[in-house]
Amino acid sequence: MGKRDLSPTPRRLFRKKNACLPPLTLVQGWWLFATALAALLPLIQHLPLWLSTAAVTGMAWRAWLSWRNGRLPPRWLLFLLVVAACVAVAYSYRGFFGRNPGIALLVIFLALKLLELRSVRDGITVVLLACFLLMAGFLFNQGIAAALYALAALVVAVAALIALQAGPPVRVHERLGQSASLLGQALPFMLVLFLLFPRVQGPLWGLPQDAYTAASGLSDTMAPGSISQVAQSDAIAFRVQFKGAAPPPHQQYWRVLTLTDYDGQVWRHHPTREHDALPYAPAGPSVDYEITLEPHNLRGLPVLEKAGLLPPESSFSADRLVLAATPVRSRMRYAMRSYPDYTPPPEENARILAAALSIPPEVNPRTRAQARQWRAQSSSDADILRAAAEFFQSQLLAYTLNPPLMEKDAVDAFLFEHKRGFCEHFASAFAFALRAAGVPARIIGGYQGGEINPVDGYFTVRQYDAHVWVEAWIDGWGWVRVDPTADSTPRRIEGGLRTAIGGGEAPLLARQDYAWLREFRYRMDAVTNAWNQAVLGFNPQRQREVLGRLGMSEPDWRKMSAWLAGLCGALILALVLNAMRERKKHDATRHAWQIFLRKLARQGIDAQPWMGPDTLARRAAAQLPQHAAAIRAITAAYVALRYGDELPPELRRRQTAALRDMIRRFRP
Amino acid sequence: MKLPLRRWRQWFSGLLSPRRADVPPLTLTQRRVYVLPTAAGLMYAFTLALMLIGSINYNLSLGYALTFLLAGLGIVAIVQSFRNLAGLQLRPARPTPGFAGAQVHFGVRLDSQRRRTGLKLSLAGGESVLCHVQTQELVHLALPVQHRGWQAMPRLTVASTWPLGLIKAWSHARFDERSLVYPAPVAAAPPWPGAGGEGRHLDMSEPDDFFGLRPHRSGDLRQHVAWKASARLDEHLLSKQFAAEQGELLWFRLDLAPGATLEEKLSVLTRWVLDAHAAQQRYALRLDGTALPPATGSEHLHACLQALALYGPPPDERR
Amino acid sequence: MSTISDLSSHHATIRAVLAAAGQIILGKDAQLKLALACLLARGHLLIEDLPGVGKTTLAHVLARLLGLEFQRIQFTSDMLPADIIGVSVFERTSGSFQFHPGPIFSQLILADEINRATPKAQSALLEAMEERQVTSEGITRPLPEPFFVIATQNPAHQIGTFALPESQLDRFLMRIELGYPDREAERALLAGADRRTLLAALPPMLQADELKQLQETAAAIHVSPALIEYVQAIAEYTRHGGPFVNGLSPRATLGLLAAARAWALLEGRPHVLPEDVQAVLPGVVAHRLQVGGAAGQVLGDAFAKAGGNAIGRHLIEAVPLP
Repeated sequence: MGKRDLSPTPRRLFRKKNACLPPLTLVQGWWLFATALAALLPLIQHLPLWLSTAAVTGMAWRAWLSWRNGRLPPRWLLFLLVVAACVAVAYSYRGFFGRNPGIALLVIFLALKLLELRSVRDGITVVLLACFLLMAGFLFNQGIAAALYALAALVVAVAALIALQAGPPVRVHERLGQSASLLGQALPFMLVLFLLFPRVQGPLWGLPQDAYTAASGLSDTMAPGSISQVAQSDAIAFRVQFKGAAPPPHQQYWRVLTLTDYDGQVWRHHPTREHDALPYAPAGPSVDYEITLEPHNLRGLPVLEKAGLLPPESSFSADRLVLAATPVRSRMRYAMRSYPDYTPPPEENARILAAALSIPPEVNPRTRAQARQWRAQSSSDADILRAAAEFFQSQLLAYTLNPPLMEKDAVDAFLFEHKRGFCEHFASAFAFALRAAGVPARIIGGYQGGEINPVDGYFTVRQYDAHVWVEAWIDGWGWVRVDPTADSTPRRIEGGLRTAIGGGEAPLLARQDYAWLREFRYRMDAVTNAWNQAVLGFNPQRQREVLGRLGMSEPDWRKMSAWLAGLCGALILALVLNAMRERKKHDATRHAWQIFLRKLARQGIDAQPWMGPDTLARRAAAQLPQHAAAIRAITAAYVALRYGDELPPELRRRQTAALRDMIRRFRP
Repeated sequence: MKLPLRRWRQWFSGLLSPRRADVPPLTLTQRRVYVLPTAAGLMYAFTLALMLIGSINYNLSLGYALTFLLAGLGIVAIVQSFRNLAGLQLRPARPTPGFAGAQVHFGVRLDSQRRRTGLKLSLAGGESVLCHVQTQELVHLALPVQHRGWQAMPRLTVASTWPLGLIKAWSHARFDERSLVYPAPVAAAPPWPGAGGEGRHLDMSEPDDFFGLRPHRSGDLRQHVAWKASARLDEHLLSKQFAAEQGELLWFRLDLAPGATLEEKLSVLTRWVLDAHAAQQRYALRLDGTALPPATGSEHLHACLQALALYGPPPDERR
Repeated sequence: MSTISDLSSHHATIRAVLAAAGQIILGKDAQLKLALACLLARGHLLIEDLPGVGKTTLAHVLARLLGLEFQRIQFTSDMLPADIIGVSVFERTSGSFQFHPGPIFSQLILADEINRATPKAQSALLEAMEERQVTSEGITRPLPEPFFVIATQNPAHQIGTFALPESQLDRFLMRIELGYPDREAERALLAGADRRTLLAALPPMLQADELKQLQETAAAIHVSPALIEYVQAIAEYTRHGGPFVNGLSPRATLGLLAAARAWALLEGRPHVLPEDVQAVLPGVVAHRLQVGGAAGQVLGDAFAKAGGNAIGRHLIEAVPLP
């Protein structure tokens, strides 16, 4: 209840900047410090080392100054620091444009603004910068924990905003309580806006390449033999919800990309013409499912063979891939239909067939010799395929995640020397052999298998399910899928990676002995998936679906805006009504007395709020002599109730009723 | 709370033409409270717009959520700022008179059913005071005054940016209240008229007991000088004062006061009256048409000062 | 606990006392009543006014009417604490020190012109007032019951005086001013008989134990929660809301409540009303509050000019009844 005089602001023609703004107190400074710290913490690990170090140093400097009650650094020094930092950012990121340099600049501004806190306005700038950085943190992590952290940080930020206002000093937890209360009131607005604000599919403009750092088990090049250790990640690649039962494992081949160009070492993807016509005729029942794809920065969308429809803004490529318009850089959800059975097209584009036959001369001579032998012995391409498969089985090839290095003539080395490798070796060797024998063949990259999460029923495919296999063109059959890995070591396909290799070699989650860990992981995945589906995957399309399910027919932005305005209005009204409600203890005696005072006031007897009942009664009786007796009686009853001895409740109630009655009958 | 165009027009026209005075107690009803974003509020809105664009561009679902939560907070700030003022009861308290060239204080009593924080009360052309109201609060606002006479209470503004500083809610009140402005007393007091002579009469009663000491004034009897006491103080002589001297009577008249203009004379009279009161002398004041009989005490003082304040034509016609 | 009939008989006694006192001290009914309330609340009274307005007479009258043993101590600048408390004198006959009690060992003390004495002498009296006992040479001696001090003080800012510090002012329950008599009272005073003769003829109207009973009755007067809330609101205002340097101390609020109870007894009420608080408020708080702060600067001048009652008046009007 303290009171503080504000000196009247003198009106000057030339006012020194900030001259009229009240300086910040130490407590306000600490709140802003906490806010900035909370906003910076999640970003630290994503910044280059020099920047995190600089930001932490700046914060520590500020804390030390606050602690020692020291003077803030002079403006020219801060200016130099800003310039230096900007140059450093420009050098470190080669420019200012893009997401990461932007965040870096904001971090620098925030850290330096803390050293320049002089007025309330500076404080508000800090809070707003902190809010922006909290959002920037979501670029790196949008998990549940990150969301909860941001919410907690926001409570601190809003508390800082309140602390900047001229209120009575309160303790820290009370301040946080005020903040949480305000945010709690804001929460319904957030829900309504989240649901109804008409969503626009981003991006609004081209994003710089550094925006995508998502890791994937797939890439559009493949060089078997050049790596000896496969990094197996158990990150989720995508989740599938089947309408009906999941197809059997031998049909769980998720095509993503094709690798057609081979230079003797590296297989590369070669883009083909795109169109949106279905290149074959379905025969048999369809499999319907919905995929939630984690961003993988590729255009190919995982689909089961053979894709039967196109998600919005996608197309078929000539090699039967389903391609999104742009590389997938945010979590995406699409419905898909596949036909395991189909009528193959009678012929294939000559150029594609030619590309599927090209091999560089001189490499892998032993395999070539073997292929020439097949060609000589076989009457058709189908026979060659069969012969090749038999040959692979006869070679007793072993599946391992730690193959030896095979740098020159990798296929020969794999087939005839080491005989150990993983799917890339198998597929590469098989495709090369077929091509050498004159059978058009290409490598397909994608995923194979996956597992059902028993908690929420989602079919989950992880990065360690990434796989490559081969497709060969056989006249009359079309493109035929051949999985040399499976043919040689069938357990890989039927039982998944866990069974294909020994216990010590597989990633932790792929092992079978950690059942409880898998159980826990299933649950976590289910929660994360629900979060991804409901919150993170809430895009314009999903919004329309949800609103449609809620009963809004054909939701468009007009309807959404109307509903949004209506609901927000209702919320505001509820808030106002709740806020304006006077919380007052009801006291019947006082209430009756107030009525009496109002009746007197109508007679021109102005009761000052400080006047005691006796004073008032005497005054009223003097002005209304004809009612003097009634006035005295009412006053006596009121005084006895309010100031007299404690009465038993029953008696008190009766006397209050009597007082009310007297006042009601009092008509001056 | 939402301000339709019509209300705006009313408000602006209210600014241009002086409204009728408000009848106390004035409750700040919802129609009287205005809200607008502050500079910080505009900055906040701008930041939110940037955050929204960022969320769209990077398809950040949680970015949307954060932006919407902050937008909701903005709406809550509007409601809370409004709530901080709405329902507040104002009534003028008794103003404190002052002297011309100094300040008068207008009192405002704030009554509230609930706690209110960070209310800034300001008088047009006067002082601003920040206060928090629990149930009831009395605030005195200084107003510099130049001329003696009546000073009307200027328009009162109650404003608040609580809780977030993003929204400013304010309301005006115009009370029909005025405060008396006494003439400015001259700084250096000329001696009272004819000390011991004209304008000063001794009471008939005989000198009584020794009463105390007071600074020596020319005209004091030599045998009343307290030599011993004076020797201890080296500044000035002290005179013994006797009880009956308390009854010493002073007559102040306009024609006894030195000064070229009426205002100067009034200033001198004001100083005399104040000095006489401080010295607990009995004094009387006679102005043309008004005569205040000799007396002491604060009521007498105020009567005299009021007579001086309101004497003749005011120096300035402003009311 | 007193009954209503008790109360009305007490009330009658008090009215008789006041009426008799009013015969001698003319036109000062309000001050007389306050002084009596102060006494009934077991507090001490400070009268601040010019000489000759009847301070001594007031003390005399109260002492006579209430049947109290009366002593007057004229304070002077050369006074020693022993002059008030008493001294131990070596008596040759008994061969030991014998304590000769000073004037303070009396039921009603008139401490005249207390600000003429040195702080040492002042504090001797004030300590005795507070403790209701006197310690001299290691022996503590209780003061008589009832014990009541009426101190008088010439207005401050006089040369050659030692103004009482604030902390000591707080020991007086009330401070009142007598002021000049009004015209009518003065005429009656001039025309009437000598006050001293009248005083001598005044019969005691109470026995000492009767006064004690009255004090006990006053202390037992009912105070409702609503009234306590009001007193709290006043204290709260002086502490945070008003233009004062320091707010009322808990001792002051306790005194305020006690004085209001005594006033209610004088009014013949079985419970305290806000009016009772308001009646004693100026007397109880004016000497304990100092106007200050930015808003109080000019306000303080106005209070100083308007006399001691202005602060009380301001308080009454600033704090609404809860």
